[in-house]
Amino acid sequence: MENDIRVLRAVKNISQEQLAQELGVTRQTIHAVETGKYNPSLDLAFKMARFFEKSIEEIFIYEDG
Amino acid sequence: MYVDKERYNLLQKVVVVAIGIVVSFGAVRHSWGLPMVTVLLGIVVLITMRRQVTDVLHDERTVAIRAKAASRTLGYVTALTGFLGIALVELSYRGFTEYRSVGYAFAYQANAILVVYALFVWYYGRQMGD
Repeated sequence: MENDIRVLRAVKNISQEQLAQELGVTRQTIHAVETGKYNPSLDLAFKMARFFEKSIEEIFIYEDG
Repeated sequence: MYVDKERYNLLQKVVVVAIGIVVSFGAVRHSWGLPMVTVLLGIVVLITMRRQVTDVLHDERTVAIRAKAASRTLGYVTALTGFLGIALVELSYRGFTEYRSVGYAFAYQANAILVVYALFVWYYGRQMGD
């Protein structure tokens, strides 16, 4: 699953560490989500969507299969 | 006192190593007073320091990592001890080894782990809607 977290973070001009603090997760988790190595839970996905004021579908691109 | 994540992780390692050394020393000397005090002191130090940490130490990803690691560990250890147990029992019946009781212990341990695992699967399955 791809996502635009890195781009959205760049637009807001915040670091991975700052985003992690805002969302209550570790910086490693933000990095893992950005690089597609870890798919966040629905809970974290909603938190991200609210933080960036976007819908989940606007941030995460789900591909079948 | 502010303790950051790196400092806490370092302290955790130091405490675990110190406890390991003292407990090993106690086992060799057949003395359990000092090890028990050290373990309790270590727990108190870790809990106190943990309360000072404001950084996030664990989140859903670390939980997922640990769950996967625990699952793999369970699988490998159970398979290994089960196989080892059966092998030792069989070899002892054929006269190649005298460790039949150790073999039975391994085999029973593997079974016990599977029973406990099945119970937890049932318990968490019910919690999550089975």
